[in-house]
Amino acid sequence: MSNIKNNKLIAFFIACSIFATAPLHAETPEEKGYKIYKEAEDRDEGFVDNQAEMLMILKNKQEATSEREMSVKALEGKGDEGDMSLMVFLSPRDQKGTALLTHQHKNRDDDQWLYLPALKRVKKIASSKKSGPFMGSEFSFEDIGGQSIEDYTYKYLRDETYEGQDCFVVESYPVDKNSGYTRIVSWVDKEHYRTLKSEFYDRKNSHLKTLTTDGFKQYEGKFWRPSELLMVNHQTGRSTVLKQTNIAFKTGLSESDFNKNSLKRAR
Amino acid sequence: MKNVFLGVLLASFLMASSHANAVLEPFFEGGEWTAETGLEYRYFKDPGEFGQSQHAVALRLSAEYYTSWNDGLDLFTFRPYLLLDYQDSDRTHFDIREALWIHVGDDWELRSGISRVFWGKTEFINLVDVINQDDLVDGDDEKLGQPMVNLSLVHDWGIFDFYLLLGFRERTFPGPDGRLRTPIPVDTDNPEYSREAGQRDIDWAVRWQRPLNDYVEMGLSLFSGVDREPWYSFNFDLNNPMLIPNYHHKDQVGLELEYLYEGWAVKFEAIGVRSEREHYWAAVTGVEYSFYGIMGTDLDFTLINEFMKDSRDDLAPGYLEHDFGVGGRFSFNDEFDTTMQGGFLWDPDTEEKVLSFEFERRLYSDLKIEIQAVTVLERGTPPVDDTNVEIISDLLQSQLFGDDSVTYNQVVDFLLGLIEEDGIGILFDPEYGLNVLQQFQKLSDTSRKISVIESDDYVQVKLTYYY
Repeated sequence: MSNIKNNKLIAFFIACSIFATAPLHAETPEEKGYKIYKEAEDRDEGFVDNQAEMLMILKNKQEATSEREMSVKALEGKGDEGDMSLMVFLSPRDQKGTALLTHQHKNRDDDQWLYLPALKRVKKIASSKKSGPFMGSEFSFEDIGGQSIEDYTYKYLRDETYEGQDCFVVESYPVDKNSGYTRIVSWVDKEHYRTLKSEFYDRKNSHLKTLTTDGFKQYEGKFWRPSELLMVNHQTGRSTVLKQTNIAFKTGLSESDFNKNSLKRAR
Repeated sequence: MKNVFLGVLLASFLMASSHANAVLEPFFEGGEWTAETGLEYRYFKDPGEFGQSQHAVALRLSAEYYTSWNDGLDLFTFRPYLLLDYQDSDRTHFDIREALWIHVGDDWELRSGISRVFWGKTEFINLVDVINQDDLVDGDDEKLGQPMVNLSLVHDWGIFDFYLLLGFRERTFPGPDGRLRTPIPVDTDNPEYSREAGQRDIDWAVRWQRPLNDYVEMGLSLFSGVDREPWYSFNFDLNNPMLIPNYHHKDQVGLELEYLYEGWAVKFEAIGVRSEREHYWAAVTGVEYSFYGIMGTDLDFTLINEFMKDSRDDLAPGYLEHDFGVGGRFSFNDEFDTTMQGGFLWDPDTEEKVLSFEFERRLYSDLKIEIQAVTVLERGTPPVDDTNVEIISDLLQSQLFGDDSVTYNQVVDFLLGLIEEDGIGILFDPEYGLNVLQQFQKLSDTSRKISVIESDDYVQVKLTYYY
């Protein structure tokens, strides 16, 4: 039982997946919800490693206000180990070289280190900083960070067609009390178990954000990844587009690409 | 700097031979340049004690060349840096911050060239951080490039770093026209080295870092080399009084610990030092708590408390010898990466109090503004109505000049020389050298370190453009 071993952003894309074979006996909605996510996870197993370039466009109601470019690498955890990921910022230029290393863990908080190139300093980050915005965007750290199936409990709600695709609608509830959400409602397509849309409800249980994914492509004949994600904040009217390009799998990364030394020379 | 030039010389020599040309080719191929320009303006609350201007303007130019080859297993970074100060020619300087070739192996990497290295965990001071010399004239966290060879091994037991430090960099100091200087300027052209320390010394260091469990990270380090922090002696020239930096050899063992849990952080750094001059230890310990998403906003706030202690007490050269530091950092987590922080240092023994404030925000995608202000709220001011006799007697009793120290003998010789030349009467002539003697007395009064720096409260605005 491995985690969804995708790295941060990618994991997130993946948070869009899955489904299990229809059971013969009567299932509780909780069991069915879990099975849907378990299937999504299983379908994403064996990606070994991947790399991608990312572009984030921050917008207010009318127009784009700024951009961030990043490059991301991820390595699938072996056995019981969680995934590892390394994200490097290329812009804004004053942040160039700033890098974030994550070691995911299944039964405890992830380890995260931030490298500040101006000071040459590696700082370990507290894991409770989950709900804050990531780089001033509408994505929070927990949206971006890798997620394990154990991070949530689930409940199947109903079947529904979303943009012409048959979907399961599943509600997930974060286990971590530091999460910024009470629940997330997701539309998962029945054919490929990809999350097409998610609605996030804040701690007061009011609708905070909606994520939609677009431009799915299949890699290695198996792994589906969206080329674009759109997160809209309904309370502020701001939104963030996240574009992913040059996605590559099985690029030959190893654990030595994910330690403090590689963090310091990441580009 | 000698070593830097030696390196450049060596590089050009190598390049001259065509064989070496092939070897060096990857260093100059397919790389990319980036650069930044910074404009800094400082406004000082008061005119300088020695007639220096209340306004100071400086320009920073820095560029970075980066290339990699061999599938990313070889990397080369070159980062020249120039600081131009329009008031203080001693602050104007050129440095190679980095000229580093990294070769990456399976579970090791070799870093050769000029580099900067950070060790430590705490915020107000990093006792264990000894590899690089401070670029004191530049700013708080600025360091001079250090030539080195650094082998780093990644092992199940942690990361082991071995350093050979090739040559020594002297600390930079403001000149007579600069602000934030000592009343008697430091003579950077004539530093002195002890017998065991030399500019051409090869120093070494080792550091071992690893997590102890899910919450605690540890670092253990050894350093043997020239102490980056000099001591000072007086040139005993009343017409042209100068402080002479004295560099000594030291051996240091350092420990770093950091515990993180939820919003809490507990940090600790300690060093034990044996030098030619003295044996001592120093430690800093801190507790931080972070509040995330205050009142439902995106604002984070971190409260930092640290306590510093040096076993030498007043005899420590820095002013953080027994001080409390309280700091607060606001991160707005907005798209401009706005942060704001304040720091307060308090020495309960001398009642010295220093307050600082920093603000940082990106204005456009490639332009950043930084504002900084520092004010000394309370400084222990030494009495100024002493006569020469009192000052001299104080000097001779100062803890800094032990009976058997060279400096003590110098003080005695100096005074005997004065008397021989001008008669004993000069000691009672308030017109003669009193000012210089008073400044010297100020310096030798180790309990009031902040008074060493003149009244230099300032506000600084810095604009940096990246391209």
